[in-house]
Formats: sequence, structure tokens, C-alpha cells
Amino acid sequence: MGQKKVLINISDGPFGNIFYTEGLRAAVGVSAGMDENIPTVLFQADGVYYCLKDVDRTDSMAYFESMKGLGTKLYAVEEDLAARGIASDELAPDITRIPRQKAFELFKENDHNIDF
Amino acid sequence: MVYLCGEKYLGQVATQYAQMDPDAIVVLIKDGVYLDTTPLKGKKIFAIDEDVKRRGMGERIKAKAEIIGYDALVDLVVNNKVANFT
Amino acid sequence: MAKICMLLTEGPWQSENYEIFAQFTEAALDKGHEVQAFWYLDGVYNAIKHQKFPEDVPLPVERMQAVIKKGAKITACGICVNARGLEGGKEFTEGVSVGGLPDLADMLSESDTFVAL
Repeated sequence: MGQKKVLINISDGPFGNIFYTEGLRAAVGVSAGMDENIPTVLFQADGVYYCLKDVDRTDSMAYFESMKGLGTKLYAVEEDLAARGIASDELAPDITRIPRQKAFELFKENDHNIDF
Repeated sequence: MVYLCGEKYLGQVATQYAQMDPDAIVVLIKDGVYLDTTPLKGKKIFAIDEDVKRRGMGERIKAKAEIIGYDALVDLVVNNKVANFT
Repeated sequence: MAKICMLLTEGPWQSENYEIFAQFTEAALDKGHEVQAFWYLDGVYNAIKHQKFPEDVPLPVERMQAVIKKGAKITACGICVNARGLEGGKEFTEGVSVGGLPDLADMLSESDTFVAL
């Protein structure tokens, strides 16, 4: 047993499948065990579309609120945003842009990673 | 890290991380056997025997990946951190 | 020996993930490792015991029963179970318990390595 750092990767955009929101439910959920694991969320590839400020977050709002309470960091890969022509001013304010090199560091730093 | 690539789209995402990782071990499983491994030249690449054979990919993949069974995959997974792209 | 945690998010008959799960789990258990799995989203369908198919093929649930018998510990997400009308898993095969994401959290805390399917 022991507290683990868990990286949640979301690689599909909303809303064609349910992974965008179930990934966030899992991010909150993995912190809910005995050891209060520490989740971090990484949006990559088409997953970055969920970072647009105008996206409808209704069905994930509770998870965003919980993650805010937990201090969970939400990152989007800069190169994947750029490849899709998404500018900084189109992003929701709670999303932090990071270069892929930093995202790679997240894979290394976290004990486990889960892809959605 | 072991990059477990289970499909082409996610395998392409995994490729971008594996290229940054000097110790990358790439495992092609399921539809991951269709991944274009050209950008991974020089990396250790494995492919799951049964998944390759069923897809008739044996001849196409033999020059770029070492064929392994689930037994060897288990060893890779317990001895390395897994980056899941399945 | 290692503790392996696995996540399975797809059901049988449409995705091959159940088969990959069964083969990998069987190989891991044969080597003496522990396997704990969390079945999430459509992954919970793998537990339904009343599977039927017109042709004589191994049923997905039979593959799962074999790995459970070998020692795999499996928990299905209760919210996913009830969302799919599976009524608390009353038609589930023996050895699959119904729990929640805190169970996945504990599995992750306890495990040495993690595989998602």
C-alpha cells in the first residue's frame, strides 16, 4: 500500500464516446481510496478539444469542481493544440499548456498512467 | 518505459513519447501491429505473436519487431513502468 | 512476485480486449504474480453469466471464469453496472464483486504495475 501518483490521459475529443468524462470521473475516483492517490490529468492528441473554453462541460462539471478542490492539475500538450490550430485564448482558464517534453516527464514522474 | 500500443491512432501518440525516451521499449499489441514504426528506428520493438499471426502480418513485421508471447509480455510489464496507449 | 492492476473498459463480442485480458492475466498468474482488475464502463458486461452463441465457440465469460478460478480478483464498477441495467450484478458470474472507483484507487495503491485495456 502507499499513496501513488496517477496520470489520467485523455486522447479522444468529446462527445463521440464517453471517455472524455469517464476519464475525469476516474481522476476523481483514484483519489478516493485509503491512500488518497494524487491524480493529474493530461489532454493529448484529439483529447485537447475538450480544453476549448466554449465546450459544454455540463456532464463533467461535478468532476471539474472536485478536481478543483483536490488541486488536480489539468494539462494540455502544446504541440497537439498547435497541430489543431487551437490558440491560447481559446482555452478554458483552468487548463495549462505544456510542451510534450514536460508531458513525457509526467509519464515518468507518475507511478501509474491510465489512458481514456 | 514499456509503451503498450494497442491501436494505430494511440500508437502514433505513444511514438511521440517513445522518441524522447532513450530506454523506450515499444510493444505492439492488438491493432497496434499496424503501427508505422519508421519513426521508432533504433528503439526496441516487440510485437505479440498471436496478434501478428491472426492479422497475417508476420512477413511485414518480422524485420522491424521481435515477436513475443504473453509470457514475455508479463515479464516486460512487471519489470518496467507501462505507458498505456491501448 | 509482482502485484499487477488491470483496467478493462470494453465488453465482449465487439472488442477483442476481453481475450487479451484473459490471455495476459492467465500468463501473469501462471508466473505467480497477483492480478487485481477493475472492470469499468462496458467492461462490466464481461461478467454476465448467461452468454449464448449459436456456434460452438468459447464464450467470453468462460475465459473470465478460468482466470477467476486461477486467482484473478475482479471488481466491477457499480455505477457502470446499474447504468447498464444490470441490477447490482445479480446475473454476474461467481468471483466478480461489485464495487466502485475507490476500489480501483486501492488497487492502484497496492500494485507494482498497471495495464489498461
